[in-house]
Amino acid sequence: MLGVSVAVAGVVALISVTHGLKGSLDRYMEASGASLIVFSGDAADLVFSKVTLDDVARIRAIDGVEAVSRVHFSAFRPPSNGDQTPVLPAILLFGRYPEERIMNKYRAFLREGRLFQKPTEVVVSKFIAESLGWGVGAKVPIYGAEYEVVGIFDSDLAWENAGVVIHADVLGRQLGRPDNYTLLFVYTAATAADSVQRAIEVELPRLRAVPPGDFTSQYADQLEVLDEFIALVTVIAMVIGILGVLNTMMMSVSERTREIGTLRALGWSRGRVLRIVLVEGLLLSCVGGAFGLLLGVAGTEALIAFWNKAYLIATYLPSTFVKGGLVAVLVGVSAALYPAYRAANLKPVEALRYE
Amino acid sequence: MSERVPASAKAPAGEPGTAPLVELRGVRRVFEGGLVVALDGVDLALGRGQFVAVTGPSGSGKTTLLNLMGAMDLPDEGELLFEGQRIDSRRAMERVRAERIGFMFQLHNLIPVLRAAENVEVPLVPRMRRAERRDRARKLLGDVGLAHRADSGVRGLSGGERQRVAIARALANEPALILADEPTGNLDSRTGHEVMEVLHAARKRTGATLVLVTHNLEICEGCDRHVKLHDGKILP
Repeated sequence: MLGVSVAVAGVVALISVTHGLKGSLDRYMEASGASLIVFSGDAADLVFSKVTLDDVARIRAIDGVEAVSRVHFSAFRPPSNGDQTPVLPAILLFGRYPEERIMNKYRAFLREGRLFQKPTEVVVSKFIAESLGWGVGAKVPIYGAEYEVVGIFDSDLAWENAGVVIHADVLGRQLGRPDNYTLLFVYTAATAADSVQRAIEVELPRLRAVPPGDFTSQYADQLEVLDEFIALVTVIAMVIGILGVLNTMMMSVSERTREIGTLRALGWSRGRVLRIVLVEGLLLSCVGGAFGLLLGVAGTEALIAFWNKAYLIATYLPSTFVKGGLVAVLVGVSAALYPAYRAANLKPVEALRYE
Repeated sequence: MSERVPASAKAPAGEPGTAPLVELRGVRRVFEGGLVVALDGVDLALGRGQFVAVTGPSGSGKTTLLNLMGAMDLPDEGELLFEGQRIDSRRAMERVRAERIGFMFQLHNLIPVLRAAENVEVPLVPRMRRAERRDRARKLLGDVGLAHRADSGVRGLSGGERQRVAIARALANEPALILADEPTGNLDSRTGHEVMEVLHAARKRTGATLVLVTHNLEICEGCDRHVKLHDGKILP
């Protein structure tokens, strides 16, 4: 039963965290308020996406485009507290221009101070401020240079709440790409989004433009790798679960050989004995699976609490629990097949002699 | 596959004019690749309602004979017939066991996790609804004087009570043939005597044939037929 529980718990935890990750990314993109996200269509990963200044100028010239916000993304290891262990595993850096529309979002999230105006200023999330003691007015080290914290924002998005908003020129220089950007948030009138999307893809075929809500499903290849990873882990977990249940069921059949012989002598057919053992395996797996669902949620929440909510978030969808249940059923039936076959084919005469 | 045997081919039965209940014709059964000959050329026909005692020394083939008559095993040579039908397939064996035969074992073989009444229900599970078989199990327990123990667990029953539950279970499917392998072998003489009284009463009430394998010649008294086995052969 433990094998099934661990298998189901693992599947539930992985799927829930992946859903959480995808959901966070989608919500992050949607929270920009933009109509379209523009990035390199041929980049293997978002960090390799490159949108040039010339691209920006051409998009701004498209009829229906109201505004374009240029962004960089990066991350750095925060300073340690005197020993070798950093307080946080990583801080995300969001490169933005203070005059661009994307900053409206941070204006809404602002809890203290103001938004940055100069390349030497940064705005930090409430989580970062509390974790590292980076209050308004603090001078903080980022990539070896010192910046002044001028504001603190509080976002409900997992990724953003682990971040620092910094001037895009500063981050661009740091990344060695001062004249190109990771992606663009494009703002249009609501009715112009489709025509602008088509125009971008016609005029700039190297780029892709997608609505924010479609970003994860259409572009996030790295998240597809996660799906493949989940499939692999699910298979491994199922094999472990099957071996566990198989062992239990084989022992159970062996211990009850005389009972099975008695049932067969009393007229129970092979099919009935087969079904009984299969149902027993299935029940065992269902109980283990139910426990595994609870263990999966509890384990995921414990992991999130241990690691940090700013980096990890889980979304528990009904489909996840259905998948967990299916894993339990598959494990139960698969693992009980051979013991059931053995039990059904015991000869009553030999089974009754078994000691 | 079962096949109806012509009446002319039938061996003599216990009741004139009817097919024998169970019949063995030239049956040979060997084990360990032929090194052990358990039964050798056995011919036997048993009629309905008889009390048949099977005796013989250890290794004489008593249990093998019982297993064959109970359709739990098939002969290597010869024929096994039940009510005139040849038993030569697993399906035929299962059907006969389920519908026509009741078993009693030396060690009662009750399912320890079930209550007394539930044990009696076991042979009825494949063919009867739960409420129906529950009523029948309680009636059968009443017939063997154990109505008050219907809800007791097996572990709470004495040896004699366990064998009486086993008798009720053997009668559950209204068998034509009751096979009992040393049913008093593990009981003291007084309890064994009581169990035999219950068994005989049940036989008379149901009209079933009782085949009893035993070492105890005392409980063979009054039998309609005494089959003595030695080295796999029936002694004349």
